[in-house]
Amino acid sequence: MKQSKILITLISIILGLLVGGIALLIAGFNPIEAYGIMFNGIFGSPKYIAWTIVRSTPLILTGISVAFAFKTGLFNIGAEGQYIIGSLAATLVGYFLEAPIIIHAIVAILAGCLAAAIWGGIAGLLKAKFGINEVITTIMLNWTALYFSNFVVFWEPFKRPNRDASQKILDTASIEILEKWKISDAGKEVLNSNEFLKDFLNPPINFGFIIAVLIAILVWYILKHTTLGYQLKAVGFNKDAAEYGGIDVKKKMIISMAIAGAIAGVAGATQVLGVSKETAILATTEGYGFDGIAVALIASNHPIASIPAGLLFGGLKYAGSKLQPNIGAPMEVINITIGVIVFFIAMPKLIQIITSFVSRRKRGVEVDDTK
Amino acid sequence: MNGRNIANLSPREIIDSGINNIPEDRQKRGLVLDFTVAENLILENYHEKPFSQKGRLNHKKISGHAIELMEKFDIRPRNDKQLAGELSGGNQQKVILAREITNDPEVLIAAQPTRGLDVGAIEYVHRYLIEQRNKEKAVILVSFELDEIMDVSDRIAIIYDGKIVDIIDANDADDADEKTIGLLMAGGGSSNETE
Repeated sequence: MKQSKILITLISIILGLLVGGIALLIAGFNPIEAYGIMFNGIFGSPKYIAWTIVRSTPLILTGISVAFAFKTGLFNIGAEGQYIIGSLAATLVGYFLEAPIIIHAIVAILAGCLAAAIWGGIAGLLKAKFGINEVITTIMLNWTALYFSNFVVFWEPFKRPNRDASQKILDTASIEILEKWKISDAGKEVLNSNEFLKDFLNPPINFGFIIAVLIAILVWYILKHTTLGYQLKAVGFNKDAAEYGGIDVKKKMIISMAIAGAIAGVAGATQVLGVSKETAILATTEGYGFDGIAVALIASNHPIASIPAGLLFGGLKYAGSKLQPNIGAPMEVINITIGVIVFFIAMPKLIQIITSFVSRRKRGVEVDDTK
Repeated sequence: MNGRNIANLSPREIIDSGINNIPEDRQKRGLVLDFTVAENLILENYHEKPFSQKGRLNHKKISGHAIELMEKFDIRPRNDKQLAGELSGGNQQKVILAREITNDPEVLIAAQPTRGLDVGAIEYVHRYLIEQRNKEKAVILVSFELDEIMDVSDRIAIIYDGKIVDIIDANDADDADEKTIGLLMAGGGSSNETE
Protein backbone atom coordinates (compact mmCIF):
# COMPACT_ATOMS: atom_id res chain seq x y z
CA MET A 1 0.00 0.00 0.00
CA LYS A 2 2.81 2.34 0.84
CA GLN A 3 4.56 1.56 -2.39
CA SER A 4 1.49 2.27 -4.44
CA LYS A 5 1.19 5.64 -2.74
CA ILE A 6 4.73 6.53 -3.74
CA LEU A 7 4.05 5.29 -7.25
CA ILE A 8 0.93 7.42 -7.51
CA THR A 9 2.91 10.43 -6.35
CA LEU A 10 5.66 9.82 -8.90
CA ILE A 11 3.18 9.35 -11.73
CA SER A 12 1.38 12.51 -10.65
CA ILE A 13 4.63 14.45 -10.78
CA ILE A 14 5.35 13.16 -14.29
CA LEU A 15 1.82 14.00 -15.41
CA GLY A 16 2.17 17.43 -13.84
CA LEU A 17 5.38 18.06 -15.76
CA LEU A 18 3.70 16.84 -18.96
CA VAL A 19 0.75 19.19 -18.56
CA GLY A 20 3.16 22.00 -17.69
CA GLY A 21 5.02 21.16 -20.91
CA ILE A 22 1.81 21.33 -22.92
CA ALA A 23 1.07 24.71 -21.38
CA LEU A 24 4.54 25.87 -22.43
CA LEU A 25 3.97 24.51 -25.91
CA ILE A 26 0.69 26.39 -26.26
CA ALA A 27 2.40 29.55 -25.08
CA GLY A 28 4.93 29.06 -27.87
CA PHE A 29 7.96 27.82 -25.97
CA ASN A 30 9.94 24.66 -26.38
CA PRO A 31 9.13 22.62 -23.27
CA ILE A 32 12.28 20.50 -23.51
CA GLU A 33 14.40 23.60 -23.60
CA ALA A 34 12.44 25.08 -20.69
CA TYR A 35 12.78 21.96 -18.55
CA GLY A 36 16.45 21.81 -19.48
CA ILE A 37 16.90 25.30 -18.10
CA MET A 38 15.02 24.37 -14.97
CA PHE A 39 17.05 21.23 -14.43
CA ASN A 40 20.20 23.21 -14.90
CA GLY A 41 18.78 25.82 -12.58
CA ILE A 42 18.64 23.34 -9.74
CA PHE A 43 21.56 20.99 -10.34
CA GLY A 44 23.75 23.15 -12.56
CA SER A 45 25.98 24.33 -9.75
CA PRO A 46 26.45 23.76 -6.01
CA LYS A 47 25.20 27.29 -5.52
CA TYR A 48 21.87 26.44 -7.11
CA ILE A 49 21.52 23.31 -5.01
CA ALA A 50 22.18 25.34 -1.89
CA TRP A 51 19.60 27.91 -2.93
CA THR A 52 17.05 25.17 -3.55
CA ILE A 53 17.59 23.84 -0.04
CA VAL A 54 17.34 27.33 1.46
CA ARG A 55 14.15 28.08 -0.44
CA SER A 56 12.62 24.71 0.42
CA THR A 57 13.21 24.82 4.16
CA PRO A 58 10.18 26.95 5.13
CA LEU A 59 8.00 24.95 2.73
CA ILE A 60 9.04 21.69 4.34
CA LEU A 61 8.16 23.05 7.78
CA THR A 62 4.81 24.55 6.83
CA GLY A 63 4.13 21.30 4.96
CA ILE A 64 4.76 19.31 8.16
CA SER A 65 2.54 21.73 10.05
CA VAL A 66 -0.40 21.20 7.69
CA ALA A 67 0.24 17.45 7.48
CA PHE A 68 0.31 17.10 11.26
CA ALA A 69 -2.96 18.99 11.70
CA PHE A 70 -4.52 16.95 8.95
CA LYS A 71 -3.49 13.69 10.59
CA THR A 72 -5.37 14.79 13.66
CA GLY A 73 -8.50 15.74 11.74
CA LEU A 74 -7.92 19.48 11.50
CA PHE A 75 -7.39 21.56 8.41
CA ASN A 76 -4.73 24.13 9.19
CA ILE A 77 -5.09 26.89 6.60
CA GLY A 78 -3.40 29.14 9.14
CA ALA A 79 0.20 28.04 8.63
CA GLU A 80 0.64 31.36 6.84
CA GLY A 81 -0.35 33.42 9.86
CA GLN A 82 1.56 31.18 12.24
CA TYR A 83 4.60 31.60 10.00
CA ILE A 84 4.28 35.39 10.19
CA ILE A 85 3.87 35.39 13.96
CA GLY A 86 6.80 33.01 14.31
CA SER A 87 9.07 35.21 12.22
CA LEU A 88 7.94 38.36 14.04
CA ALA A 89 8.62 36.88 17.47
CA ALA A 90 12.00 35.58 16.33
CA THR A 91 12.94 39.00 14.94
CA LEU A 92 11.90 40.75 18.14
CA VAL A 93 13.95 38.39 20.28
CA GLY A 94 16.78 38.46 17.77
CA TYR A 95 17.02 42.25 17.93
CA PHE A 96 16.14 43.20 21.50
CA LEU A 97 17.61 40.34 23.48
CA GLU A 98 21.32 40.22 24.08
CA ALA A 99 22.65 36.75 24.63
CA PRO A 100 25.65 34.66 23.70
CA ILE A 101 25.80 33.03 20.30
CA ILE A 102 23.89 29.71 19.88
CA ILE A 103 21.80 30.40 23.02
CA HIS A 104 20.45 33.55 21.41
CA ALA A 105 19.42 31.66 18.29
CA ILE A 106 17.79 28.87 20.30
CA VAL A 107 15.86 31.36 22.41
CA ALA A 108 14.74 33.21 19.28
CA ILE A 109 13.53 30.02 17.62
CA LEU A 110 11.72 28.94 20.78
CA ALA A 111 10.10 32.36 20.99
CA GLY A 112 8.85 32.07 17.41
CA CYS A 113 7.71 28.54 18.15
CA LEU A 114 5.82 29.55 21.28
CA ALA A 115 4.18 32.63 19.79
CA ALA A 116 2.99 30.67 16.77
CA ALA A 117 1.80 27.85 19.02
CA ILE A 118 -0.39 30.32 20.87
CA TRP A 119 -1.57 31.72 17.53
CA GLY A 120 -2.52 28.25 16.32
CA GLY A 121 -3.94 27.38 19.72
CA ILE A 122 -6.42 30.26 19.43
CA ALA A 123 -8.02 28.55 16.45
CA GLY A 124 -8.02 25.25 18.34
CA LEU A 125 -9.59 26.89 21.38
CA LEU A 126 -12.32 28.53 19.32
CA LYS A 127 -13.09 25.20 17.72
CA ALA A 128 -13.12 23.29 20.99
CA LYS A 129 -15.10 25.82 23.02
CA PHE A 130 -17.50 27.27 20.49
CA GLY A 131 -17.39 24.82 17.62
CA ILE A 132 -16.17 27.40 15.13
CA ASN A 133 -14.65 25.72 12.11
CA GLU A 134 -10.86 26.01 12.14
CA VAL A 135 -10.77 26.71 8.40
CA ILE A 136 -12.56 30.01 8.92
CA THR A 137 -10.71 31.07 12.06
CA THR A 138 -7.28 30.22 10.68
CA ILE A 139 -7.91 32.17 7.47
CA MET A 140 -9.02 35.18 9.49
CA LEU A 141 -6.05 34.80 11.82
CA ASN A 142 -3.77 34.87 8.77
CA TRP A 143 -4.80 38.43 8.01
CA THR A 144 -4.77 39.38 11.65
CA ALA A 145 -1.21 38.10 11.86
CA LEU A 146 -0.17 39.99 8.74
CA TYR A 147 -1.47 43.35 9.90
CA PHE A 148 -0.33 42.79 13.46
CA SER A 149 3.16 42.10 12.16
CA ASN A 150 3.10 45.25 10.03
CA PHE A 151 1.88 47.22 13.03
CA VAL A 152 4.69 46.00 15.24
CA VAL A 153 7.33 46.65 12.58
CA PHE A 154 6.18 50.28 12.39
CA TRP A 155 6.91 50.63 16.10
CA GLU A 156 9.59 53.32 16.42
CA PRO A 157 12.42 51.51 18.27
CA PHE A 158 11.98 48.45 16.11
CA LYS A 159 11.66 49.95 12.64
CA ARG A 160 14.77 50.53 10.60
CA PRO A 161 14.85 54.19 9.49
CA ASN A 162 14.00 54.75 5.82
CA ARG A 163 13.20 51.12 5.20
CA ASP A 164 9.93 49.25 5.16
CA ALA A 165 11.35 46.65 7.45
CA SER A 166 12.37 46.00 11.01
CA GLN A 167 15.87 46.28 12.39
CA LYS A 168 18.20 43.45 11.47
CA ILE A 169 18.64 40.78 14.08
CA LEU A 170 21.87 40.78 16.07
CA ASP A 171 24.66 38.60 14.72
CA THR A 172 24.52 36.38 17.78
CA ALA A 173 21.05 35.21 16.78
CA SER A 174 21.98 34.19 13.25
CA ILE A 175 21.77 30.54 12.28
CA GLU A 176 23.59 30.97 9.01
CA ILE A 177 26.38 28.45 8.66
CA LEU A 178 29.89 29.99 8.77
CA GLU A 179 28.47 33.44 8.15
CA LYS A 180 31.37 35.34 9.71
CA TRP A 181 34.02 32.99 8.47
CA LYS A 182 32.81 33.36 4.87
CA ILE A 183 33.70 37.05 4.75
CA SER A 184 36.79 36.87 6.92
CA ASP A 185 40.19 36.89 5.21
CA ALA A 186 41.02 33.35 6.24
CA GLY A 187 37.68 32.13 5.02
CA LYS A 188 38.00 33.90 1.71
CA GLU A 189 41.37 32.33 1.19
CA VAL A 190 40.09 28.80 1.75
CA LEU A 191 37.01 29.39 -0.38
CA ASN A 192 39.02 30.82 -3.25
CA SER A 193 40.99 27.61 -3.45
CA ASN A 194 37.91 25.40 -3.22
CA GLU A 195 35.46 26.17 -5.99
CA PHE A 196 32.75 23.79 -4.80
CA LEU A 197 32.59 25.07 -1.24
CA LYS A 198 32.75 28.65 -2.38
CA ASP A 199 29.75 28.13 -4.59
CA PHE A 200 27.84 26.08 -2.07
CA LEU A 201 28.30 28.57 0.74
CA ASN A 202 27.46 31.58 -1.41
CA PRO A 203 23.73 31.49 -0.60
CA PRO A 204 22.63 32.01 3.01
CA ILE A 205 22.79 28.32 3.75
CA ASN A 206 21.68 27.80 7.35
CA PHE A 207 20.73 25.33 10.04
CA GLY A 208 17.07 25.64 9.14
CA PHE A 209 17.12 22.60 6.89
CA ILE A 210 18.65 20.44 9.61
CA ILE A 211 16.04 21.72 12.05
CA ALA A 212 13.32 20.88 9.53
CA VAL A 213 14.59 17.32 9.16
CA LEU A 214 14.76 16.91 12.93
CA ILE A 215 11.22 18.21 13.31
CA ALA A 216 9.98 15.86 10.60
CA ILE A 217 11.45 12.91 12.48
CA LEU A 218 10.11 14.19 15.80
CA VAL A 219 6.59 14.65 14.45
CA TRP A 220 6.68 11.23 12.85
CA TYR A 221 7.79 9.75 16.16
CA ILE A 222 5.07 11.53 18.11
CA LEU A 223 2.37 10.36 15.74
CA LYS A 224 3.60 6.81 15.55
CA HIS A 225 5.08 5.95 18.92
CA THR A 226 3.48 8.02 21.65
CA THR A 227 0.19 7.95 23.46
CA LEU A 228 -0.22 11.61 22.56
CA GLY A 229 -0.04 10.69 18.89
CA TYR A 230 -2.44 7.82 19.46
CA GLN A 231 -4.93 10.16 21.09
CA LEU A 232 -4.55 12.84 18.44
CA LYS A 233 -5.01 10.36 15.61
CA ALA A 234 -8.02 8.77 17.30
CA VAL A 235 -9.61 12.21 17.58
CA GLY A 236 -8.77 12.86 13.94
CA PHE A 237 -10.19 9.63 12.61
CA ASN A 238 -13.26 9.31 14.79
CA LYS A 239 -14.11 11.92 17.37
CA ASP A 240 -17.02 9.96 18.81
CA ALA A 241 -15.06 6.78 19.36
CA ALA A 242 -12.17 8.74 20.84
CA GLU A 243 -14.48 10.41 23.31
CA TYR A 244 -16.02 7.06 24.13
CA GLY A 245 -12.54 5.66 24.74
CA GLY A 246 -11.98 8.31 27.38
CA ILE A 247 -9.96 10.81 25.35
CA ASP A 248 -10.57 14.47 26.06
CA VAL A 249 -11.39 15.50 22.50
CA LYS A 250 -11.52 19.24 23.07
CA LYS A 251 -8.20 19.44 24.83
CA LYS A 252 -6.59 17.38 22.10
CA MET A 253 -7.91 19.75 19.42
CA ILE A 254 -6.27 22.71 21.11
CA ILE A 255 -3.00 20.82 21.57
CA SER A 256 -3.03 19.70 17.96
CA MET A 257 -3.51 23.21 16.59
CA ALA A 258 -0.86 24.55 18.96
CA ILE A 259 1.67 21.98 17.75
CA ALA A 260 0.82 22.68 14.11
CA GLY A 261 1.25 26.38 14.85
CA ALA A 262 4.57 25.79 16.57
CA ILE A 263 5.95 23.95 13.53
CA ALA A 264 4.87 26.74 11.17
CA GLY A 265 6.38 29.20 13.64
CA VAL A 266 9.74 27.45 13.40
CA ALA A 267 9.51 27.92 9.63
CA GLY A 268 9.16 31.67 10.12
CA ALA A 269 11.89 31.80 12.77
CA THR A 270 14.48 29.91 10.72
CA GLN A 271 13.73 32.05 7.70
CA VAL A 272 14.33 35.22 9.70
CA LEU A 273 17.40 33.99 11.56
CA GLY A 274 18.96 32.25 8.59
CA VAL A 275 17.98 34.18 5.49
CA SER A 276 16.15 37.49 5.70
CA LYS A 277 17.45 38.65 9.14
CA GLU A 278 14.50 41.01 9.40
CA THR A 279 10.72 41.21 9.22
CA ALA A 280 9.57 43.26 6.27
CA ILE A 281 6.33 45.18 6.03
CA LEU A 282 4.18 43.09 3.78
CA ALA A 283 1.32 44.18 1.56
CA THR A 284 0.18 40.61 1.25
CA THR A 285 1.16 37.21 2.59
CA GLU A 286 4.25 35.49 1.24
CA GLY A 287 2.41 32.26 0.59
CA TYR A 288 4.62 29.87 2.55
CA GLY A 289 1.64 28.66 4.50
CA PHE A 290 -0.52 28.06 1.47
CA ASP A 291 2.30 26.35 -0.37
CA GLY A 292 2.62 24.22 2.75
CA ILE A 293 -0.86 22.84 2.05
CA ALA A 294 0.29 21.73 -1.40
CA VAL A 295 3.45 20.22 0.08
CA ALA A 296 1.40 18.29 2.64
CA LEU A 297 -0.87 17.00 -0.12
CA ILE A 298 2.07 15.87 -2.24
CA ALA A 299 3.50 14.16 0.85
CA SER A 300 0.15 12.43 1.58
CA ASN A 301 0.32 14.10 4.99
CA HIS A 302 3.36 12.12 6.01
CA PRO A 303 5.77 14.27 8.03
CA ILE A 304 8.93 12.67 6.65
CA ALA A 305 7.62 12.66 3.09
CA SER A 306 7.19 16.40 3.53
CA ILE A 307 10.97 16.74 3.15
CA PRO A 308 11.20 15.50 -0.47
CA ALA A 309 7.85 17.11 -1.24
CA GLY A 310 9.09 20.44 0.09
CA LEU A 311 12.33 20.09 -1.86
CA LEU A 312 10.37 19.32 -5.02
CA PHE A 313 8.10 22.28 -4.52
CA GLY A 314 10.91 24.62 -3.54
CA GLY A 315 13.04 23.34 -6.42
CA LEU A 316 10.28 23.87 -8.97
CA LYS A 317 9.64 27.37 -7.69
CA TYR A 318 13.29 28.30 -7.63
CA ALA A 319 13.97 26.82 -11.06
CA GLY A 320 10.80 28.36 -12.42
CA SER A 321 12.10 31.79 -11.59
CA LYS A 322 14.89 31.18 -14.12
CA LEU A 323 12.50 30.65 -17.03
CA GLN A 324 11.69 34.31 -17.39
CA PRO A 325 15.21 35.71 -17.78
CA ASN A 326 16.40 32.85 -19.98
CA ILE A 327 13.68 32.22 -22.54
CA GLY A 328 11.03 34.65 -21.44
CA ALA A 329 8.57 31.94 -20.49
CA PRO A 330 6.28 32.93 -17.65
CA MET A 331 7.04 31.34 -14.30
CA GLU A 332 3.32 30.77 -13.83
CA VAL A 333 3.87 27.58 -15.80
CA ILE A 334 5.36 26.20 -12.60
CA ASN A 335 2.19 26.99 -10.72
CA ILE A 336 0.24 25.08 -13.38
CA THR A 337 2.61 22.14 -13.00
CA ILE A 338 2.33 22.12 -9.21
CA GLY A 339 -1.43 22.49 -9.42
CA VAL A 340 -1.69 19.51 -11.75
CA ILE A 341 0.53 17.39 -9.51
CA VAL A 342 -1.68 18.09 -6.50
CA PHE A 343 -4.75 17.51 -8.65
CA PHE A 344 -3.62 14.06 -9.72
CA ILE A 345 -2.48 13.06 -6.25
CA ALA A 346 -5.93 13.95 -4.98
CA MET A 347 -7.33 11.47 -7.50
CA PRO A 348 -5.53 8.23 -6.70
CA LYS A 349 -8.28 6.20 -8.34
CA LEU A 350 -7.57 7.74 -11.73
CA ILE A 351 -3.89 6.83 -11.51
CA GLN A 352 -4.80 3.32 -10.43
CA ILE A 353 -7.00 2.98 -13.49
CA ILE A 354 -4.19 4.23 -15.73
CA THR A 355 -1.58 1.93 -14.19
CA SER A 356 -3.83 -1.10 -14.26
CA PHE A 357 -4.66 -0.33 -17.89
CA VAL A 358 -1.00 -0.12 -18.78
CA SER A 359 -0.03 -3.27 -16.90
CA ARG A 360 -2.97 -5.19 -18.37
CA ARG A 361 -1.83 -4.39 -21.86
CA LYS A 362 1.63 -5.52 -20.97
CA ARG A 363 0.56 -8.82 -19.49
CA GLY A 364 -2.21 -9.53 -21.92
CA VAL A 365 -4.42 -11.11 -19.31
CA GLU A 366 -5.78 -9.59 -16.23
CA VAL A 367 -4.72 -11.33 -13.06
CA ASP A 368 -7.11 -11.04 -10.19
CA ASP A 369 -4.85 -10.25 -7.29
CA THR A 370 -7.52 -9.28 -4.82
CA LYS A 371 -7.26 -12.59 -3.05
CA MET B 1 -21.39 2.49 41.43
CA ASN B 2 -19.98 0.72 44.49
CA GLY B 3 -21.48 3.45 46.60
CA ARG B 4 -20.15 6.28 44.48
CA ASN B 5 -22.28 8.58 42.40
CA ILE B 6 -20.90 8.51 38.90
CA ALA B 7 -23.50 10.60 37.12
CA ASN B 8 -22.05 13.41 35.00
CA LEU B 9 -18.46 12.26 35.21
CA SER B 10 -16.23 12.25 32.16
CA PRO B 11 -16.04 9.12 29.99
CA ARG B 12 -12.56 8.45 31.33
CA GLU B 13 -13.73 8.49 34.96
CA ILE B 14 -16.71 6.31 34.20
CA ILE B 15 -14.52 3.74 32.48
CA ASP B 16 -12.12 3.80 35.40
CA SER B 17 -14.96 3.23 37.83
CA GLY B 18 -15.57 -0.16 36.27
CA ILE B 19 -18.33 0.35 33.75
CA ASN B 20 -17.80 -0.75 30.21
CA ASN B 21 -20.15 -0.29 27.37
CA ILE B 22 -20.80 -1.93 24.05
CA PRO B 23 -22.09 1.05 22.13
CA GLU B 24 -25.18 0.97 20.03
CA ASP B 25 -23.47 2.14 16.88
CA ARG B 26 -20.26 0.19 16.53
CA GLN B 27 -18.91 2.17 13.61
CA LYS B 28 -19.66 5.56 15.06
CA ARG B 29 -18.61 5.12 18.67
CA GLY B 30 -17.21 1.67 19.08
CA LEU B 31 -14.33 1.65 16.64
CA VAL B 32 -11.89 3.94 14.97
CA LEU B 33 -12.27 2.46 11.51
CA ASP B 34 -8.98 3.87 10.23
CA PHE B 35 -7.06 2.34 13.11
CA THR B 36 -5.77 -1.19 12.97
CA VAL B 37 -7.45 -3.91 14.99
CA ALA B 38 -4.56 -3.84 17.45
CA GLU B 39 -4.95 -0.12 17.97
CA ASN B 40 -8.69 -0.45 18.44
CA LEU B 41 -8.25 -3.13 21.06
CA ILE B 42 -6.44 -0.69 23.34
CA LEU B 43 -8.76 2.28 22.83
CA GLU B 44 -9.59 2.38 26.52
CA ASN B 45 -6.26 1.39 28.01
CA TYR B 46 -3.65 2.77 25.63
CA HIS B 47 -2.28 4.89 28.49
CA GLU B 48 -1.76 1.99 30.86
CA LYS B 49 1.05 -0.48 31.24
CA PRO B 50 2.09 -2.58 29.41
CA PHE B 51 0.83 -0.83 26.30
CA SER B 52 2.63 2.38 27.01
CA GLN B 53 5.15 3.72 29.40
CA LYS B 54 5.85 7.38 30.06
CA GLY B 55 3.83 8.34 27.03
CA ARG B 56 5.55 5.96 24.65
CA LEU B 57 3.59 3.21 22.99
CA ASN B 58 4.93 -0.31 23.15
CA HIS B 59 3.99 -1.67 19.75
CA LYS B 60 5.21 -5.15 20.53
CA LYS B 61 2.97 -5.51 23.57
CA ILE B 62 0.02 -3.97 21.73
CA SER B 63 0.44 -6.37 18.88
CA GLY B 64 0.87 -9.35 21.20
CA HIS B 65 -2.24 -8.38 23.10
CA ALA B 66 -4.14 -8.15 19.84
CA ILE B 67 -2.98 -11.53 18.57
CA GLU B 68 -3.98 -13.14 21.85
CA LEU B 69 -7.45 -11.62 21.80
CA MET B 70 -7.96 -12.37 18.13
CA GLU B 71 -7.27 -16.00 18.86
CA LYS B 72 -9.53 -16.06 21.90
CA PHE B 73 -12.44 -14.27 20.29
CA ASP B 74 -11.95 -15.76 16.87
CA ILE B 75 -11.61 -12.45 15.06
CA ARG B 76 -10.92 -12.98 11.40
CA PRO B 77 -8.75 -12.44 9.51
CA ARG B 78 -6.01 -13.02 12.08
CA ASN B 79 -4.09 -9.92 11.19
CA ASP B 80 -3.64 -7.34 13.89
CA LYS B 81 -2.48 -4.79 11.29
CA GLN B 82 -5.76 -4.98 9.42
CA LEU B 83 -7.79 -1.78 9.50
CA ALA B 84 -10.91 -2.18 11.60
CA GLY B 85 -12.98 -0.68 8.79
CA GLU B 86 -12.04 -3.60 6.55
CA LEU B 87 -13.53 -6.23 8.87
CA SER B 88 -17.03 -7.66 8.53
CA GLY B 89 -19.70 -6.42 10.91
CA GLY B 90 -19.56 -9.54 13.02
CA ASN B 91 -15.81 -9.34 13.40
CA GLN B 92 -16.01 -5.65 14.20
CA GLN B 93 -18.43 -6.47 16.96
CA LYS B 94 -16.09 -9.16 18.22
CA VAL B 95 -13.31 -6.60 18.43
CA ILE B 96 -15.47 -4.39 20.61
CA LEU B 97 -16.63 -7.35 22.69
CA ALA B 98 -13.06 -8.51 23.14
CA ARG B 99 -11.97 -5.06 24.25
CA GLU B 100 -14.83 -4.49 26.67
CA ILE B 101 -14.80 -7.93 28.25
CA THR B 102 -11.04 -8.13 28.74
CA ASN B 103 -11.30 -5.01 30.85
CA ASP B 104 -13.34 -7.25 33.17
CA PRO B 105 -15.83 -4.55 34.09
CA GLU B 106 -18.09 -4.66 37.12
CA VAL B 107 -20.93 -3.51 34.94
CA LEU B 108 -21.15 -4.14 31.22
CA ILE B 109 -23.76 -2.19 29.33
CA ALA B 110 -24.48 -3.83 26.00
CA ALA B 111 -26.63 -1.70 23.75
CA GLN B 112 -27.97 -3.72 20.85
CA PRO B 113 -24.86 -5.85 20.71
CA THR B 114 -26.24 -8.14 18.03
CA ARG B 115 -27.70 -5.60 15.66
CA GLY B 116 -27.06 -6.53 12.07
CA LEU B 117 -25.12 -9.69 12.85
CA ASP B 118 -25.62 -13.14 11.40
CA VAL B 119 -26.90 -16.03 13.48
CA GLY B 120 -23.51 -17.49 14.32
CA ALA B 121 -22.17 -14.17 15.52
CA ILE B 122 -25.30 -13.50 17.57
CA GLU B 123 -24.84 -16.82 19.31
CA TYR B 124 -21.29 -15.89 19.99
CA VAL B 125 -22.11 -12.52 21.51
CA HIS B 126 -24.77 -14.09 23.73
CA ARG B 127 -22.38 -16.70 24.95
CA TYR B 128 -19.92 -14.08 26.09
CA LEU B 129 -22.59 -11.98 27.78
CA ILE B 130 -23.75 -14.99 29.76
CA GLU B 131 -20.21 -15.98 30.59
CA GLN B 132 -19.71 -12.51 31.98
CA ARG B 133 -22.81 -12.97 34.11
CA ASN B 134 -21.54 -16.31 35.36
CA LYS B 135 -18.46 -14.51 36.60
CA GLU B 136 -20.89 -12.60 38.82
CA LYS B 137 -20.52 -9.35 36.97
CA ALA B 138 -23.52 -7.24 36.09
CA VAL B 139 -24.56 -7.14 32.46
CA ILE B 140 -27.21 -4.72 31.25
CA LEU B 141 -28.54 -5.69 27.87
CA VAL B 142 -30.51 -3.12 25.91
CA SER B 143 -32.21 -4.43 22.84
CA PHE B 144 -35.18 -4.17 20.52
CA GLU B 145 -35.20 -7.90 20.02
CA LEU B 146 -37.71 -9.42 22.40
CA ASP B 147 -36.52 -12.96 21.78
CA GLU B 148 -32.99 -11.99 22.53
CA ILE B 149 -33.96 -10.37 25.79
CA MET B 150 -36.07 -13.26 26.90
CA ASP B 151 -33.35 -15.74 25.99
CA VAL B 152 -30.44 -14.07 27.62
CA SER B 153 -31.73 -12.07 30.55
CA ASP B 154 -32.38 -13.01 34.14
CA ARG B 155 -34.52 -10.03 34.85
CA ILE B 156 -36.26 -7.80 32.36
CA ALA B 157 -37.01 -4.15 32.96
CA ILE B 158 -39.52 -2.57 30.66
CA ILE B 159 -39.28 1.10 29.96
CA TYR B 160 -42.22 3.09 28.78
CA ASP B 161 -42.29 6.84 28.37
CA GLY B 162 -38.89 7.26 29.95
CA LYS B 163 -39.67 5.31 33.10
CA ILE B 164 -39.11 1.74 34.13
CA VAL B 165 -42.67 0.47 34.40
CA ASP B 166 -41.97 -3.02 35.55
CA ILE B 167 -39.19 -5.46 36.31
CA ILE B 168 -40.05 -9.07 35.83
CA ASP B 169 -38.23 -12.27 36.43
CA ALA B 170 -37.39 -13.97 33.17
CA ASN B 171 -37.73 -17.41 34.72
CA ASP B 172 -41.21 -16.69 35.93
CA ALA B 173 -43.26 -18.53 33.36
CA ASP B 174 -46.41 -16.55 33.93
CA ASP B 175 -45.04 -13.07 33.53
CA ALA B 176 -42.24 -13.47 31.09
CA ASP B 177 -44.08 -14.06 27.87
CA GLU B 178 -44.30 -11.85 24.87
CA LYS B 179 -47.82 -10.83 25.63
CA THR B 180 -47.18 -9.37 29.05
CA ILE B 181 -44.02 -7.64 27.96
CA GLY B 182 -45.68 -6.35 24.83
CA LEU B 183 -48.51 -4.94 26.87
CA LEU B 184 -46.11 -3.21 29.24
CA MET B 185 -44.12 -1.83 26.32
CA ALA B 186 -47.22 -0.31 24.85
CA GLY B 187 -47.94 1.47 28.10
CA GLY B 188 -50.59 -0.89 29.33
CA GLY B 189 -48.75 -1.71 32.51
CA SER B 190 -50.77 -2.47 35.58
CA SER B 191 -49.06 -1.39 38.74
CA ASN B 192 -46.55 1.38 38.12
CA GLU B 193 -48.16 3.01 35.14
CA THR B 194 -49.29 6.14 36.87
CA GLU B 195 -46.72 7.61 39.08
